[in-house]
Amino acid sequence: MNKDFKQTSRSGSLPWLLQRISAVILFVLLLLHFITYHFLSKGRAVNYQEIVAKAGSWWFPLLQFAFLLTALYHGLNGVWSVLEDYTANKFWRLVWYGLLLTVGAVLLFVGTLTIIKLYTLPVA
Amino acid sequence: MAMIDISAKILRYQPGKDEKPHWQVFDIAVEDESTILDVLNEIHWQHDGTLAYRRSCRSSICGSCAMKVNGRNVLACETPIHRFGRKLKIEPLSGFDIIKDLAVDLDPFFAKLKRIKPYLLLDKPLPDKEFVQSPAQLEAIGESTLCILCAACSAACPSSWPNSEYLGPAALLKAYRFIFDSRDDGADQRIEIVNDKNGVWRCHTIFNCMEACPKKIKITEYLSRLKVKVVENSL
Amino acid sequence: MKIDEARNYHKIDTVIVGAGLAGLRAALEVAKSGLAAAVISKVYPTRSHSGGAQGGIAAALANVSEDSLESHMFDTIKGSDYLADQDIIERFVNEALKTVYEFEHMGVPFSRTEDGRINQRPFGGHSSPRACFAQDVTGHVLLHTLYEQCLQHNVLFFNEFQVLSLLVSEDVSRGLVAWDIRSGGLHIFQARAVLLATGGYGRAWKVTSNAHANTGDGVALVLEAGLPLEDMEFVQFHPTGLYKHGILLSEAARGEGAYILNDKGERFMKTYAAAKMELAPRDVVSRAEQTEINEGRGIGGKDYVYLDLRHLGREKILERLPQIYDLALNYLKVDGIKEAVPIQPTAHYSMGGIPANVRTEVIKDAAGTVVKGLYTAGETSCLSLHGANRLGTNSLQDAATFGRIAGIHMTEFCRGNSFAGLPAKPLEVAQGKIDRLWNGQGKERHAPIREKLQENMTKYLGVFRNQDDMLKMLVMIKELQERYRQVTVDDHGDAFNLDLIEALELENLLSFSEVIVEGALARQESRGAHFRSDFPKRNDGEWLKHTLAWRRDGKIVLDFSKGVVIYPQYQPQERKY
Repeated sequence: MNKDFKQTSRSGSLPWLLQRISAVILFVLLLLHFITYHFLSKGRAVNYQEIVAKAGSWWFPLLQFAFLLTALYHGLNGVWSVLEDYTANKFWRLVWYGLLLTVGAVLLFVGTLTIIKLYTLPVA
Repeated sequence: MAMIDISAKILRYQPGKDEKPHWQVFDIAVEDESTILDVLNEIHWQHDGTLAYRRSCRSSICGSCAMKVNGRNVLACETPIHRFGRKLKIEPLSGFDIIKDLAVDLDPFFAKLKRIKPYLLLDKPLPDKEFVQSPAQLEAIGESTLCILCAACSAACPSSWPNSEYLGPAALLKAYRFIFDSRDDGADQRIEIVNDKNGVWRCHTIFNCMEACPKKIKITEYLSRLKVKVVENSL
Repeated sequence: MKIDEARNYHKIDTVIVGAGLAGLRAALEVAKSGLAAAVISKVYPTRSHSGGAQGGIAAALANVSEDSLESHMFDTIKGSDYLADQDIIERFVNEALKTVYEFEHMGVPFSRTEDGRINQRPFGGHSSPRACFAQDVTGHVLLHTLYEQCLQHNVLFFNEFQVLSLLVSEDVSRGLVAWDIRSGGLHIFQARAVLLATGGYGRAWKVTSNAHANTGDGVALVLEAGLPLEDMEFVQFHPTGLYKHGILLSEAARGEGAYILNDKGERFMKTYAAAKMELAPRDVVSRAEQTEINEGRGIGGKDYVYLDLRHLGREKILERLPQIYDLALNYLKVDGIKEAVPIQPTAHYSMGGIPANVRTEVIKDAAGTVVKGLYTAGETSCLSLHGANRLGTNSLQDAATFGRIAGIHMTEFCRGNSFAGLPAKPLEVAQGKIDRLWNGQGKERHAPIREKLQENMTKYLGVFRNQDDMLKMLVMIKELQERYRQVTVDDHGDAFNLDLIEALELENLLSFSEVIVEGALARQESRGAHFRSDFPKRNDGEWLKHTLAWRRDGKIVLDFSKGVVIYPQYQPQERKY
C-alpha cells in the first residue's frame, strides 16, 4: 500500500460545491414546503381535502419534483463521498457507484409516480 | 502531593517477537500530580525497560509524545493523569504502522507535508530588508503556524483511517498557512495539489482534528477557508 | 566483506549531526551549493530543542527604537563577563541582521509593528529592544521554517539515528558511526566534512529546561575522540523555570514587563540590579532569586518565587505570551492572568562546549590547531561567543548565524579535499558500547544512576558553588562511572530500543559531567554563571582565560593557556546593571 499522498486526476471541487448549493436549495424548498403545507392553515390541522386541492395546482408538481431531485442528489452524493473514503478498491467503488445510481433511479421513478398520482387525484 | 495507585493498560508490540499488539497492565504507585509522560517514565525506568515511546521537550512544543489515552489523542507530557482518573488505557496513534509499543511510523506523515511545498514560493525580488506584512495579514496565518506536527489531528481523522493516501489535516493546514501568507506567490501551484480527491476534498468537516489538536488550532475552519479558496480559484 | 560494500555504509560529502537551528542552517547552505548534505538526528528534525526557544532572536534592526551593532557588541561582551572572544562577537553582530532578514524571506511569521515591519521587544542585558520575535514561539517557527527549506533543497535526513563514535585520527575527521534507532544496526558514514551541532548538555541536571534529548552527545564524543572541551563549567541557570518542572517560561515575560516577587511581595531585583531590575542578565537574576530563597524569602519559605504577569492585562498576555500562559495553566493549574506563577532557577544553556575558531573549525589545542574536516556550531560549540554568560535571544542568532558560516566553510573545504580514508576497524568502538550493554554480566540499571547524577548536580553544581560541595560531586561521579560499567539493559530488541539509547546517553552524561566539575573546581573565581561562594569576586589577573579539558588515560587534564581575545576599546570593567 502506498502510504504517501497520491495525486489523482480528479478534483473534488465540483461535487463539494454542488453539495453546498444543493443544501441551500434544499433549505429554501423545505421552507416553501412548510409554508405551503403547514403554515397556511392558520392554526388548525390541515385536512385531506386541502392537500388534494393544493396538489392539483400548477406549481405543485414543479416544487415537489425540484425537491425530489435535489434531495436525491444531496443524499446520494453524501453517501458516495463516505463510501469513497472507505473503499480503496476500484472494482468495489464501481459496484457501489452502480448501486447508488440504481437506488437513485428507482427512487426517482417511484417519487415521480407519486407526484403525478397526487397531481391527478380527483378533488372529492 | 501524595502517592496514588493507578492501573495503566498499555498496548505493547515488539516486531519479530509479537505477532500482533497486545495489552499489558502495570499497577504502579505515582504522585497524584503526575503527567502521562511521568507514568511512562516511571514504568520504563523502574519496572520494564523494554517499553518504547517517544518524548523530548516535556513542554508541549516538540510534538514527540502524541498518543491515545483513554480514547483521546493527547500530548503525554502536558496531560495530567487526574484528567482520566486512576485507570489509564494508553495506545499509539491510530492510522499509522507501529514500530514498537507506542512509537509509530511517521514517515508517511512527513512525506505528505513535503508534497504541499511547505516553503514560500516567490516571483518577486527580495527586498533589502524585510517584506512588509501588516499585523492583520499576519493574523490570517498566525494560529496555523503554531502547528507542532505531532500528528494528533491526522490520527483522529476518520477520513484518514481508511485511506492512507489522503493528505490529512496537518498537511492541508500547512498548505493553508502558505497559500494565505501575504508574501507568497505560489498559491496556484499548491492549490493544484490540494484540489484533489485525496486532497482537501476528502475532508468532510468532521471536526475531530480540531478537537484533538493540543495547540487548539481551529483546523477545520482553516480547511473550510482553503476549500472556498480552491473553488474561487477554479471558477 | 569490504566496508564499502556493506549495506549500512554511506559516503556523503557532508554529514551534519543534529537537526536544530545550527545543523539545519548549515545543511541548507551546503545543499544550496549543490553538494550533498545529510542530517543525522536522534529525533525527527522538528522535535529538536531549538523549537523550545521562546522569546526572540537578537539583531539590531532598530525597528522600534535606536540601536547599533556596536551596542549589540558591547552588551554581549558585558553579558559574557568579559570571557567571550571579541573577534567572534564582532563577526556575530555583523552577520546578525542578514540572518534575520534571510529568515523573514524564508517566510518566518515574525510578529509585526503597526507599519508591517519585524517587531522587537526588550530582553535582559540588551540596552535596546533587540529581540525579533514571533509571539513567544520564536524558536518553533524558525525551526519549522528551516526544516521546510531543507525539504525544498533536498537535504538528506537520517531521522532517529544516534551517533556512537567519531572517526577521527591524525587530526583528520573521516566520518562517524551511528545506530539506527528505528530498526537497529550500526551505520558507517564517510564524509569529507562533519559538523557537530548536537545542542546543549543541560540534562546532567535534575531541574532543567532542557529536553530529554539534550544529553551532550556531541561534547562526549569529542572528549572520547581525544579532543578537548572548552569552558564546560559555565552553565546558565534561567531565572524563570516553572516550579518543580524546570521547563522554560520565556524571559519575554519580563521583556513585556512582568515582575519577580518574593514572599513579601517585593520586587527584590531592586536590591541586586537597581537600574535594569528584572531585565538584568540571567546570571544576575538567578543569583538574586537563589539568594532570596536561601535567606528564607521564597514563597512561604519554600524554594520558589513568583513571576507576576497580572498587571500586563489579559489582552497582552494572550496576544504576546500565549505559550507561557498555557504552560502555567497546564502544568501547575495556575491562571497567569489572575495569579502569580511559581518559578525557580533551572539549568538552561551550555556556554561551554567544543572549542572552535571563527570559521567553526574544531581546534585541538590552545594554539588553535585545526582538526581537518571537523566543524561545530550552535549550543554544542564554544567559539566563545557567550563567554561566562549568554544574553537571551543571542542563542538563536548564534545557532543560525554560525550554522550558516559552518555551511559556507564546509562547502569550501569539500571543494578542495577528497574523502579521508576510514580506519581499519571503524565499527569497533560503537560495537563495543552496544555489546557491553547487551552482553555484560552486571546487574546495574541505568535509571537510578542517572537520577543520582542529576539530583546531585542540581544540589552541588547549581547557581552557587563551593569547593566542599564540588569535591563531593567529583567523588560521586567517579562512583557512578564505576557503577555504569555494570549496567546492562532489559531490552535486547533491534526496533526502537529506548532502553539502549538511554543507557548510551548516560555514558555521555557521566563523561562530560566530570569535566564540568573539574573545571569548576579549578576556576577559583566567580564569573558570569559560575559563582563560587568561596571565591565571590571576578579575578581578571588570574582567570581571564579559557578552560580547556582533555580526558587522558582516564583522567581529566586541564589547560589554561588559551587566552581571551579582547579589543582595546572593550577592556574588562566592573559589571553593574
